[in-house]
Amino acid sequence: MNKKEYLNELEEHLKNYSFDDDAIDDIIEEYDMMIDEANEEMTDEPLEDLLGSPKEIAKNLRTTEAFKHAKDNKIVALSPFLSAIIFFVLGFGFDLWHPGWLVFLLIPITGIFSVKHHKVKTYVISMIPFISLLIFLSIGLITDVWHPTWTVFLLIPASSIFAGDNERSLLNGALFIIIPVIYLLSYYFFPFQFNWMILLLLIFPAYDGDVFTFTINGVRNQRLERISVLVLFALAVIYGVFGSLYGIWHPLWIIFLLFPVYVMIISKRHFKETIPLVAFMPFVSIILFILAGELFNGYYWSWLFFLLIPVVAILHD
Amino acid sequence: MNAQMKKGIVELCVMKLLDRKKASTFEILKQIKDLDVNQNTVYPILRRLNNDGYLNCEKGNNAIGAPRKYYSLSDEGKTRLTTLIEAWRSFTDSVNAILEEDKR
Repeated sequence: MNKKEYLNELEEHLKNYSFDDDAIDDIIEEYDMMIDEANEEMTDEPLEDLLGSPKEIAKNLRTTEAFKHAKDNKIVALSPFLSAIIFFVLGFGFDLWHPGWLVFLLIPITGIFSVKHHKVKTYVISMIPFISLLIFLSIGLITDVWHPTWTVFLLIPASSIFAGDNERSLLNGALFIIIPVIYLLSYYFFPFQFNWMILLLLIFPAYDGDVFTFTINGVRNQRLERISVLVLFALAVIYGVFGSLYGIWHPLWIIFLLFPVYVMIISKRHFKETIPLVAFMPFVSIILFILAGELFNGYYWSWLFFLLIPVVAILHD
Repeated sequence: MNAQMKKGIVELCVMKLLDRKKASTFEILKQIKDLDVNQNTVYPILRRLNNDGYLNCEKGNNAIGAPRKYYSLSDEGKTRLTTLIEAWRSFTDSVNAILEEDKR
């Protein structure tokens, strides 16, 4: 393998693991210099024997980069506390419990902005989940039409598919837009029970395309991506079945909060770390807050569940 | 030897070498070749040490003017190295004490 082939292969593996652009440039520059140094020695030893295999190097670097990203995540970790403080000020000070709870959106927003993207494409993709959530909440809160507004979330996988390197990205991405549109047309113009089953067709473009990139602290893992697609799909089926049978689209959507919880569990398991209970508390608190608010009309007291976040953090320490 | 244990030893050796004098990644690779380590792990270890603030990194040129990146131990790295060496000595002393027990 010559220098060019070696560096290309290394770059390919780093891209597959979704290293950020800065990290890739830095690593490639380092290996470029290393190869030059090796060549100056006039050795006959193949580059792989001297410097290691590009695939294994990228694999070993994953953990290093993941820990680096984990440090950056400290700002994100503070966002639940900031949100809780603003929520209490709005609630106690101005009796704005609702829609004051929307400040908890600061948590995902901080997450989105804490990740540095150097390409416009990846930046737009990272913003789509947040934009979808804003559309969902705006339409839901103003018109109370939660269903089928939730289909706006299908923009998330669609954008990832369009951005993918897969040969059929355009076709799969288009299918991911067309199928929900057919569903919406059926919902409003040719309604029948279980018409949501049209959406099951999404499994085909989902499996063939890069539905979403699953990253653990910034490092991509394709095997977990496939498992995650199935988990997300299972949640969507549960949502579809119970939503259409009992008409409980809201607050049933909170089952999707189980997805980030699942992501945290597998992320931590992957790196063989223990999972601090406090990491789950923002999600648990939101679920309890909404359940108590909806089922017992208790929004005026259910905010107390947010106190679980600092309480658990204190007990944990 | 256990791969994880070997990584720890490589980390210690890399830090000690950089404590003696600044070096490029390739120079480090050459110097620790006798340890029979996996080359794939050396740069990731170096990068992690750098990310953790244990190393200083400076760009320079070699004798013929080609660009190079040289690493040296930072003050934080020197403190960390002292701790690691103490832990290593205490560990090897204990292991040696067990191994040499029959000879006494």
